[in-house]
Amino acid sequence: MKLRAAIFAVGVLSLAIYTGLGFRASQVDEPLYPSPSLSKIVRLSEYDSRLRGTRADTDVYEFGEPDGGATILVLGGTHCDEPASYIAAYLLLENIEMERGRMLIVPRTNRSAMSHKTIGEAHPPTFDIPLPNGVRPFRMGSRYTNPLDQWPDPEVFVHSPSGQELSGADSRNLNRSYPGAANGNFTGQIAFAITELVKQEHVDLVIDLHEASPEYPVINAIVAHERAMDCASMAVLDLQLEGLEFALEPSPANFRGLSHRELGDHTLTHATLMESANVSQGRLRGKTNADLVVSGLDSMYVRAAKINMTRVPYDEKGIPLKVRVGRHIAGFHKLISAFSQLNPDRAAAFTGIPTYDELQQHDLGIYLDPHDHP
Amino acid sequence: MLFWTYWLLAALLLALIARELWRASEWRMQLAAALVLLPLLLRVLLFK
Repeated sequence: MKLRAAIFAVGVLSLAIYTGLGFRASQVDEPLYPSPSLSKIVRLSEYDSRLRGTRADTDVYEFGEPDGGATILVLGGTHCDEPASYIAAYLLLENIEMERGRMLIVPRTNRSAMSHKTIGEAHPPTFDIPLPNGVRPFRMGSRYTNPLDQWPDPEVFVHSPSGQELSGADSRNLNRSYPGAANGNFTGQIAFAITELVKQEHVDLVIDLHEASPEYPVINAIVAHERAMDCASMAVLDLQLEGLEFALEPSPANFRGLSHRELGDHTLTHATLMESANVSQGRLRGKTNADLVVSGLDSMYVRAAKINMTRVPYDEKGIPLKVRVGRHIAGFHKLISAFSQLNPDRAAAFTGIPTYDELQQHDLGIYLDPHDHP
Repeated sequence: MLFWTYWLLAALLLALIARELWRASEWRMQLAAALVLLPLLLRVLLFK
């Protein structure tokens, strides 16, 4: 009896060690390989010291120098179950060469959300992107801040300062928490630090990268604050001329907490946000695994599209990750080009980033190969 | 405060279940105790 109890206890300890090591690994950032034009890396806690040493203290990569050109901020991984968002940011920071202006890239904006997954979504812990010689694994995270960092959720999340009421879980949703507050909750502090970054670095243009399910109304779109509307309009026209269907969505004035609304209202920046269509987030999806994340092909969505239940065209080709990342990269090109045309004295210029067509032709792995970064 | 209340609850339950595992005479009871022990142990060690 005692021997059996001891055997069970050893089994429990072994499983605890195995699971614990897996958990510890999920807290370690996956390696990134910045391009040679990297000027410096600072931590987000530089803009709000209370984040220092927490899981929210994320890297801010800076490329180029203050030379009179525009300062542009790219936010990836606000929602870490939207892989095209952070993979596009990774691709940018691993390839960009600044010629004029400054590029700030925050690839894991809500780093806490990258350290866990949303219960009930069945998302895979990782997915692989094929490289010319092998594969590179990437982590899948959650839409929400890790409850280990912010818990419990209130019954109703009351946004500050507007007083808008949302579901309790949205208290851990970074893109419902802007502009944030110094004395706010953990997620609100991340939002506050980003808002401070935009103010202190005099960011001219913010590009917040996102994905949404194919049945969501705001999809394949650029959302823009009033101040950024001219810039976003030109970008959308350019994208459409090149055959990429993008909608232009004005940032709703009465929907608070979103980056394009609050950064636009509380800072002098031109705030924009992009959405691509990701079936692995969709409510209509079937089997959820790493292949679905990368291929974007789901037979249930093929059926849904046939009865007009999707807001984007969808067929047996799916919407692969390289298409979704390609759309973000194409939007990035056009937004910066439009901003530079409208503000020639603050123009920005860069090289090293593929076009949408180049990305479709060569695939993602060519631009995410760590062997190119010795 | 909330954190330590939660941690103390988990630690107390862990101790009680471990005692149950040691005292139980039937293997099914011991197995059940071992299964309950695992998540409690992870939580007390601040894993998950």
